[in-house]
Amino acid sequence: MSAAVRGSLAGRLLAAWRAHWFAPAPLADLAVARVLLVAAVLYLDGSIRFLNVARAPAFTWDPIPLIEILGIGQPTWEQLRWLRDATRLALLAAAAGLFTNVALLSAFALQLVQEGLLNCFGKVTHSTIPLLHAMLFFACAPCGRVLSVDAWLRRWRERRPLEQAVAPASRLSRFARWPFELLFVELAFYYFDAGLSKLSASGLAWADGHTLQHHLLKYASAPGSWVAPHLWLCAALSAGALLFEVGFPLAIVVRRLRPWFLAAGVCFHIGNHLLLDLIFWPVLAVYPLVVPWSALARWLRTRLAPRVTSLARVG
Amino acid sequence: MTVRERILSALFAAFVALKIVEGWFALESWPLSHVPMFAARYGPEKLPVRLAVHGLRAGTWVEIQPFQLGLNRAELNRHLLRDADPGPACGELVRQFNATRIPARRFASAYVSKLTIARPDTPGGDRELRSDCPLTVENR
Repeated sequence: MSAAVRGSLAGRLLAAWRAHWFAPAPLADLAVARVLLVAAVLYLDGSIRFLNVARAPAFTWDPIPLIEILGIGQPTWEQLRWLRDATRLALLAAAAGLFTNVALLSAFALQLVQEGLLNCFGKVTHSTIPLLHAMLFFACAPCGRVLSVDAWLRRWRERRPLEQAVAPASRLSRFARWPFELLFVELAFYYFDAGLSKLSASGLAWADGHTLQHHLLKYASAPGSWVAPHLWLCAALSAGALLFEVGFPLAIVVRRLRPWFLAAGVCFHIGNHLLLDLIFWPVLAVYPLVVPWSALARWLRTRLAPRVTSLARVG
Repeated sequence: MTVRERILSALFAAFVALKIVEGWFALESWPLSHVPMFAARYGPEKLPVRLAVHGLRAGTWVEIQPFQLGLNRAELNRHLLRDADPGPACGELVRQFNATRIPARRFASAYVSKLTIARPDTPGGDRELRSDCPLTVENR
């Protein structure tokens, strides 16, 4: 291969890389995702699941390495309440877009510690990992540049006229796309790693139906009890789940596949919930974050506007 | 490429590499995870086991839910299956429960039920094994 060909190939790859991560995207999408993310985390933290850490029997305390490194023991109810209140404050500030990045980064750090504490009783849960990563990505992105108190304050400090006091939500930025792309990578590998774990631990035999039947009998939900006796159905569902998991990374590069994989993901999680009583809604809560809201709004406007106009004429 | 783009690109590449390493080397140290849930294969010869703790209160046997013992179901199962006999581990949990409750809410007696479930189309039905949960330390 000549140096010129190598150079042009490298140039094309670099251009593709830049287009993938740094093509200008609406800042409004980041702002909408920021609010949705905070809403999901606030809802998640609304229960007493973190406070339960203080209630768990002390002899079941088995700290994970992260908590051990931080030198944290089993916290008291009061300490957990303080952590909860600080997290809520940071999340509310992030939602309003007040000191957005600092607030979101603080909320991420606090959430990381509390989620870590939950995993110190012998059972590690994975369902909130994508949501945690989303907090980190958005904390490092310009998600407070529009539709935020920060934006309003910035304009006010610059003494701009009142009508320009808020940055237009239609503004584009080269740094508004990467959080969504990185979040999609996170989601894709979350599923891919799960599929790879199954293949490396059990091979294709994992999908022969006996494994799913085992879990269905153990959890004994009503739909699961109906499916369990049909081994062929267990095998079909297992093969579908495995295909979905190992195939998900395809959608990182083939964007057209994304809606299909996300729709399959919704079915996958609803199926797991109905059959195995597995509630992984914090993973599903990440899905709306990767929706291109501005493009969706434009599409709806172009689709609905003519109908509204014709209806108005008829009226 | 600007300096900011270069720095971010390096971080993206590092993150993707971390995700690949996580899966390839099966790293499992929260928040790193290769999401190994349900990865093990259970062939037709392996029978599912369901564990439940039951307690006697005011003359009635009731199932004690895992959250009442401060654990979720997976944590309870893991705790009870640490030893071949789940009784002592169960006793420890119910004693802890009793120690934090008023006398009327305490359990006078408890046992753990280990139900082995038969697969469809296999001979023999479900089998249940019961182990007493000692509620006084002297009984252990």
